[in-house]
Amino acid sequence: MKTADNIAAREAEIIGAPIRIEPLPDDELGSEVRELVRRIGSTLGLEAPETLTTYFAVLARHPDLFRLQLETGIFLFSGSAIPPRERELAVLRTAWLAGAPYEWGQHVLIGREMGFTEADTDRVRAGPEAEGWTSHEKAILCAVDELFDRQMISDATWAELKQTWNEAQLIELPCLVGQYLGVAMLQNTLRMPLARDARGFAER
Amino acid sequence: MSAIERGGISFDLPERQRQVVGDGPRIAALTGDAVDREALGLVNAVRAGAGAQPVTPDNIPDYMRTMMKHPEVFARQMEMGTTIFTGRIPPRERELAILRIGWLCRAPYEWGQHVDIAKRMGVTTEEVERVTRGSADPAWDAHDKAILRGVEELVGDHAIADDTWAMLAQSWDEAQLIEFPMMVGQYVATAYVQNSLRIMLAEENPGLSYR
Repeated sequence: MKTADNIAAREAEIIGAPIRIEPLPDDELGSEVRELVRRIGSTLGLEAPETLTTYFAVLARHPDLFRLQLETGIFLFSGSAIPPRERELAVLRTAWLAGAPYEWGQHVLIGREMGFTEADTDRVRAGPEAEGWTSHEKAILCAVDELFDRQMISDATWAELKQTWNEAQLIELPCLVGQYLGVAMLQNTLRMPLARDARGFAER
Repeated sequence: MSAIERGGISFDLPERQRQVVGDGPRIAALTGDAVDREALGLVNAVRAGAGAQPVTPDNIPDYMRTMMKHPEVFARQMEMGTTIFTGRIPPRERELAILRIGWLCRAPYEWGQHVDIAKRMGVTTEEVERVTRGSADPAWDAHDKAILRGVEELVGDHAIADDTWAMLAQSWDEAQLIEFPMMVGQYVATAYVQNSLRIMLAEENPGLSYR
């Protein structure tokens, strides 16, 4: 995942072919799904709460998972113990390592609202060894890399995170990485096409 | 894992187990008397869903009592667990997948716990051993092989390849196909958490050597 050629090949592999499962047409959404979308959309203050993204319209074919995904989204708005900017750092690195163009592009945009610059997202691509991270930020990125490489956070990284974070935050990090890796696996596997105007790996 | 592992993986099993669970938990579990009514209710609802008897706070596994230190994450996990346990993928197929995940993640707690669950769901001791040899073992039928390949591809490449997808789609409907990568992600996440928190093995769980 280092060179421009690799990135282009990955994007072709994941979104260069048609979506594998079609979104549920609007008129086939069940009343349960429709009610959930309305309730959650208004909780989040969305302008058009009844419009589903393609991703959620595919998930609507499995109403239980659909509900869980929406509720997890709400939780991340309200119940997360990790400060938003640190959380996005972990999510972006996860999307990058998972080779997930949809998730990467979406979260670069979310990160931008939290003040991430192009230089910041370029540095997320470069990883924990890049210049300019604080020792706490570097530890967050190291934790993500270690989870991908050896499925466990090392002692040194754990000790560094512990200097700043409480127990709930420490518990949340591997859950968060796993959660977004799961979403990446699903979106990659479904060949979720990029939303209109979205740019996938080209987003910085 | 950064490569797709279709066969046996070579690692020093006792060394890995020492690394993960040999040095005490990194976060102490909540003591039984600190478990609140809401958390106990969640645990027993999940147990009821799996057909198990209710427990008292002192008998809740350490893993759950540790996760309770983050009540929102704990509640999400319990709900996700219930949804998958009562999901669309048949239990034996789900457990074959989880065993391969636990093995590839070299996760002593998850592996040991799911050897027991898998056996209750009809996986034989010989099949448990065969899971460690992966989809490459010639004894699997085409559908079981596709499940294992799917796990191997998701763990190693974070996506399922065309031929594996086509094989799964011969037996599974769309809801099952959507559930599969989500379920794999959930159990990879569980391995990440249990490994990273160094959740100690329960007395009856021998970890990675279990068959």
